[in-house]
Amino acid sequence: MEEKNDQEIQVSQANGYLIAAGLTFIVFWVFNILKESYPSIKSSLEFYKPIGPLLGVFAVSLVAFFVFSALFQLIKVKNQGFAFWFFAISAIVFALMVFPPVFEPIVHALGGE
Amino acid sequence: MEVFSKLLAFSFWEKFANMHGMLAMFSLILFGAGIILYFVARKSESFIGWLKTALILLFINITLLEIAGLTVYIPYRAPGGPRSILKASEETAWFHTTIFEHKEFLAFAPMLLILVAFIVVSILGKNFNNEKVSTLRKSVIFSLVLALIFVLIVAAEGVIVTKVAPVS
Repeated sequence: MEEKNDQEIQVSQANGYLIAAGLTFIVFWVFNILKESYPSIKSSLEFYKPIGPLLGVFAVSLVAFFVFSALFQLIKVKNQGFAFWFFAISAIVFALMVFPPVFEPIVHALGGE
Repeated sequence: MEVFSKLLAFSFWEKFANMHGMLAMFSLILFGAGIILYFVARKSESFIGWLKTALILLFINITLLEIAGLTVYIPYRAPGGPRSILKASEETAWFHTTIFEHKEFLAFAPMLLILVAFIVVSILGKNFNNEKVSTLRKSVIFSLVLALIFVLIVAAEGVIVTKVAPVS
């Protein structure tokens, strides 16, 4: 019985990290679109000018991963299938959403250059 | 000896860019090790620790690769650097606006994918081969293979751009 509980805890912990990573991928491409659309967001992400706003997007995404990881250790996700597919689809969608021909129309729609 | 003096004559940023490429090449060895150890660990529980070690080494390697990539971005973005050379002409602007931009964004994913794979293997521990966690186990091999594909795409994009406008 105790072993079963331990295993359930392990599964929900691991599921939490998969969900956190999936959400982090979304945060990254959303912030990337926002920085391209709004100059004020772009300049606020320029933590170190020679590298530019890319460093800010990386930093925000890493912070988001730690926050989501902590959050999903409190909120238990028991469904392994949901966690895996959310993570897998988010990772694949990420590769598309950071491809300029895909995200540029969204930037233009939001009024960016 | 002449070859060594010519290698030493490279500028600091040329050496740094080469080291960045070397880290990318080194990650391929660790990806190979990680993928093989995944299947070996499926057969024998005693290799789960080896898999964890390969994944943490791969994570460290990709993190260093990432840091080096962001650092090389300094001479790339500097006035008169490859970015301004590429953007100066309509013929070559797409190398930066499409290829290089995709490379720099996509490079974020492998680090996170491998970190998650390491965390999942660490959490599952000796239960790694339990059939009740088969979907979670799948996320480990999925992360390894997808991160490898992303690293290959990023490397190819890097080569395309630096052939046209190398960092110097």
